[in-house]
Amino acid sequence: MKFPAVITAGAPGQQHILQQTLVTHENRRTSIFEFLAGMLEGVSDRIALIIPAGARDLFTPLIRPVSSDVTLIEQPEPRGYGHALYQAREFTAGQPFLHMVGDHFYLANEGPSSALVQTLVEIHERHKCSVTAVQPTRESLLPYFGAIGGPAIATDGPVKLYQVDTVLEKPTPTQAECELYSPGLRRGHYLCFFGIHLLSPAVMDFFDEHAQRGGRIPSLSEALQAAAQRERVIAALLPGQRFDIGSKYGLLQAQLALGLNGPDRAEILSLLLEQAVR
Amino acid sequence: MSAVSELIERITSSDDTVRHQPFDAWTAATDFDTWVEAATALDRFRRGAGSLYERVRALAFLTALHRFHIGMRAGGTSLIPYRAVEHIRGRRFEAAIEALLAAQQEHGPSPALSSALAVAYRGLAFHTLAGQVRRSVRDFPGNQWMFRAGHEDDYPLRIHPALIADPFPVLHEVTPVRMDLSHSAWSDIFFLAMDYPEGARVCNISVDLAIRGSGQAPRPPVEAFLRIIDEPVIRLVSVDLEARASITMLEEIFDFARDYLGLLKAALIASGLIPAGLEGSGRPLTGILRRLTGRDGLGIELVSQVNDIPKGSRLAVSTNLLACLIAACMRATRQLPSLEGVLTESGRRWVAARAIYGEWLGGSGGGWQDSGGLWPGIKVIHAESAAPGSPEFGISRGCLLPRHQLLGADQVPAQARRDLERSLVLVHGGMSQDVGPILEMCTERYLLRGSSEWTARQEAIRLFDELVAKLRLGEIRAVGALTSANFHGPIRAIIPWAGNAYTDSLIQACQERFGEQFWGFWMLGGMSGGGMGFLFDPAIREQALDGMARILSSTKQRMENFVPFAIEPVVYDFAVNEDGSRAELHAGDAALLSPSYYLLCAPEGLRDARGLTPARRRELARFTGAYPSYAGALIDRLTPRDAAAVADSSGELRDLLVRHGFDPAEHERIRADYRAGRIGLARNQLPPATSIEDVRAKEVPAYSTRHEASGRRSLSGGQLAVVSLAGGAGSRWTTGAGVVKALNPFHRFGDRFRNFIEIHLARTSAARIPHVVTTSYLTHDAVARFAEGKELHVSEGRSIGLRLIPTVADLRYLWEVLPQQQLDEQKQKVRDSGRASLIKWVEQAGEAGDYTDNLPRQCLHPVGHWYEVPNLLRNGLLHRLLTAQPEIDYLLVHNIDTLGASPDPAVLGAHIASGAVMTVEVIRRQYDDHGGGLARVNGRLRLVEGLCLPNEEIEFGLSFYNAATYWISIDPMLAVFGLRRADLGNPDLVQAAVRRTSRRIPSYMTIKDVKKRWGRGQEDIFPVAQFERLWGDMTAIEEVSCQYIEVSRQRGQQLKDVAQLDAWVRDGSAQAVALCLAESVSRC
Repeated sequence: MKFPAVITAGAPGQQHILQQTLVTHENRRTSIFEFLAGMLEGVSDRIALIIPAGARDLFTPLIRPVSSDVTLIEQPEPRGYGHALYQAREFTAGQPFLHMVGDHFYLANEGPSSALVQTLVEIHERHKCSVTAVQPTRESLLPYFGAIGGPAIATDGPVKLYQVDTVLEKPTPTQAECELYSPGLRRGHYLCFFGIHLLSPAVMDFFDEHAQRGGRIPSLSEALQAAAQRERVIAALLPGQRFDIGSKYGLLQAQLALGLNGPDRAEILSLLLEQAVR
Repeated sequence: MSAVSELIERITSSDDTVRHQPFDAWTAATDFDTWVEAATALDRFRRGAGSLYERVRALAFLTALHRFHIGMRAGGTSLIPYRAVEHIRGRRFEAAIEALLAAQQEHGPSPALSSALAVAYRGLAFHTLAGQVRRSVRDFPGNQWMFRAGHEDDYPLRIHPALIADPFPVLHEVTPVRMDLSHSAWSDIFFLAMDYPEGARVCNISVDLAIRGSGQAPRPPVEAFLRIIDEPVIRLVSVDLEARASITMLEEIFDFARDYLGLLKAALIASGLIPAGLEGSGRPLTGILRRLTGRDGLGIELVSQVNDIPKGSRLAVSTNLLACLIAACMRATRQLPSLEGVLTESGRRWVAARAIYGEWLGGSGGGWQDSGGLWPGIKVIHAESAAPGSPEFGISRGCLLPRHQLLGADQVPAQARRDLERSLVLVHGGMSQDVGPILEMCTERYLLRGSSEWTARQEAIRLFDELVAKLRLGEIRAVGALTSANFHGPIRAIIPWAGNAYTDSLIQACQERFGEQFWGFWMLGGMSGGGMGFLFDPAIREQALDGMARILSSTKQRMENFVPFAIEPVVYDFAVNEDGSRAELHAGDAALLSPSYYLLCAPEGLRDARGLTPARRRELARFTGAYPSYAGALIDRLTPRDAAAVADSSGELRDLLVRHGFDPAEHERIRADYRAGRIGLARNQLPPATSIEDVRAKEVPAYSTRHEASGRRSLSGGQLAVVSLAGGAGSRWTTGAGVVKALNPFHRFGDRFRNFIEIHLARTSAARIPHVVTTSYLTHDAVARFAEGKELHVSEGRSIGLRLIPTVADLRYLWEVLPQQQLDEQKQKVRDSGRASLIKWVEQAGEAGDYTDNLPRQCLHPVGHWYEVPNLLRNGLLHRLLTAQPEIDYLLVHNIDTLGASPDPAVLGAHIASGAVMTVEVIRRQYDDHGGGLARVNGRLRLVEGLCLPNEEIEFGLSFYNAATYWISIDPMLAVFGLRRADLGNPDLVQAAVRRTSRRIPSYMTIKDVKKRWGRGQEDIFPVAQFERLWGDMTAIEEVSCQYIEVSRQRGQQLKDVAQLDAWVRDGSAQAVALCLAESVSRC
């Protein structure tokens, strides 16, 4: 089964992030968007890219090299992350859909990055519910992420699974300590969003309920929290790393991680050492 | 079951009827050998006990066993090994106990060993309890992360985006204070609520206040302001304490006693805004501020303001201010869900938990009801039993935090609230008190389940239920009757010193003035005398308000010389606050703080307008636009204050010095010597080659009745006069408040409180013995007034000194060289920080300069009790006495606080039989007996002051401690002065004799604490240097032949510290005094 995929890039200037290129092991320059689209190969045959209103021309060159069917959807005004995602309601057409944030880069601990998405899909197919990828994150980074709490339910191969009871958007450590319980984590670490989700239609329905009432469209964390009250939501601790390209040195970190993960590891390390002692 | 097992069963049993059986009933039914056996078993038990409370109760039992039972019956004479003393000083209680038990094993039980064991067990009990509270606070969910953030890179908080705008909006939090309606019988002390959660209940009301007559309506008494500023600093301002600081380094925030901003610093840390884990990182604040605000160059300003509520109000003002500041910080950092409005229940609990932590940081701490102002209106607060999942489960029976049950309008009708507001007259009586000792006394008594205290506690619980029921029914008169019954019954039965003579006088005056329309008295907080409530028939509300103000003022005026007052009493207007803590965001043109803030902070900026940032400049323009009427006050602040008040004060000091025979030449000589280091604390010591040994066996005879008959004959022949030394200010009794200790009505005997002089006078007047009370500049007027119409002679002090600012070397010697009792970790940190500030004060004020920056009476000092006997010669009193009653041959001279000192015929007889010039009473040394003793110095047996011993170990090796009670043969003593009776009428001869003899007596430099009061009941304690000569050194004069007699502790113990009162009652000393008073009354 293939899923529609939604990548959000609605924030002003986000085309610059998606345009950033990284050098692969094969010495090929690939844009972030190409990487993201590549991760979806095999599990998704159509991608919606949510972009700012009037930015179609900026993004069109970006999608050209990608073989998948990419639809650009404009967000009429910048009204938040949930609102951006909600723009893909018709695109997802009541089906479960994959969602990735457009300012992150992902690496699997082993194998290609697409294995991460593949794992998520397999979990979804086994458990028939929304699955959100999470990563243990130090509490000092809580201001940047949504975070979940809930009991561990199983280990699916190398992947630990948790039932999602609570979802908080960028919680303070005080809130996190009181409300986000998950076993097996080091003290001061919480399960924060990895940036990849496979969501049931209930999430879109939740957005829609608010849109119909003319209210604010909630954040994805709020939508997931609501979904977790109505149906099962699972968090999967994927064996990989995420990099926030939008943050200071985020791109550099991603490039370093990508390089160190391949055959040029020794060369990069010696270059770094050389720079450090200079 | 053996008696010992039965005692341990009282600790471990899950059956309440067994657990709550009184300890004193067990000791009454058992004998000495069983106590010793039980002590051994309890010590073994507490080492293996898993439950904290089992351990602590065992420690409480051990403390009481040694202090009041084994120690009072043991016949051994072995001394306390000094290494045990050092361990206790360093808070190594376990090691101290080991050393003491080893000594007990070797030599058998002795009063000295038991006294030290009691101190060590007690210390360990409180250390364990404090540790548990600290752990519970740290483990409380939501608090733990603050201890993990060890570097600025770990910093996880971000400022609320609504606070970043132009101009920076101001977050304004206002919080009511809490008024304790039921009085909890101290059941909300953390330790006690965790031990007996079933009994920990409080009915507590959040109130707004205004000082009556101020023209203002009641408003929340505490406020906090928080905003972003355009400087990369944390600016702290206390508007009411007029203190401010711009902090750039992390370490400064952990330095609590450096200035008056300790509470704001504690709030920064407890709120997590500066996480505790960052302490010691030595980093500048810029990194944290960048992460917090998301930009370079920004900082925050936190401002506190207490609206005219004097300190000591018993309304938990400081706890609620701390909670208010924490709430503002937590809102601003998004730790609470709402930036504005009232708090949610979970938010209040978070803030309350942080406030407990903040109190611990500041080295203070009351009970859990204190942060009640966070909650709205009327509520019942009750402890919760520890359940699985709570950090306390398996450790203690109760949880750290209680539950709050709001009593809304459906439970306490609006009419009842209005009636309560109209009936209650809320006051601050003005007294200055330290509640700390009361809380410790209460903890010990509850843990022991003392029978009378336990019965009283059950009665308090019953009264609580009845009170809440009456409140629900709106029967305020019945509420008044119940709060009165609670005060006069259980509260005073549990802690007699919760009441005092001042409160009794107020209640009596209300009863006399208002009769049936006075409905009851209501004690607030830990003890009465400060914040109090008086309930009246609402029909006479206005008369009651006016009448109360007059009663307070006149009673205070009558008692102020001997009861420590911090402020003039005040009457409040109050209203129930139905919001609890709430916040508003002032944005745009309204982004301003309070006018008082600008009056404090603006002048500095205006004096150097070029230094103002553009934002600050615009803000001042907004302020003057919004508050044009404050322009005059602002200009007034810009000009230097009128120096007239300062001049008045120095004039009064000069007058006092002249009136009391101050010798400026002698003062300058002392100052020059002190400044040059020729005299000082380290120079008090005897020369290094001096031989100092303990007395030899049987050298000091024990009290016996062998010579009682001759003593009786002497007494009936009128040969004795009693001299009570009452010139002292009781530095330790009131921690330097400067009241007349001799007249302090410290304990209730029967139906009224008695002072020290009354107790001694009761004995002498019953026996028709002439009685002299000596005075000093500080005590004379009040004592003379008290003596009017009584058979009491007053010997006016003729010596006075002017206190000096100590030298840094002396302060360092006192605090760093001389042995000091370590405090628990956080309190010690606060103390060290305070001491560093005092050293800075000395450096700024000038070493060895005159200490004049206080009330004139607080700048002077009596020059030691050596002068009090010669003053009898100088002021002619002895001459008059001997002329009127020439048969007087002997004087009994004693300190006013040696309550057991009596004209005992057996000692008098022994003195006469010895033929000595002076007989000195001594007692066997116990742990608390510091300050010298009886020693063989270079072969001569004499009293030696602790000040002049080379080290403390020598002192603890001396078997006897000076009881400071002297029997003097008058004629031989006059001969020592070079005088005869006939010379006493010649002032010049007397003066010369006293001067000559005084040169033979060493002068000691000492450091004393003196209180300085300022603001609204605020108090600072400063160390000051003064010199003194002590009567005990007369024993070193060769021609003064001396005899020493060992007397019982009950007879020889001096009451120096209020904290001694509990043990004084429990060891039977108070009962002995009460009997003596009753006998004297019946004889009269």
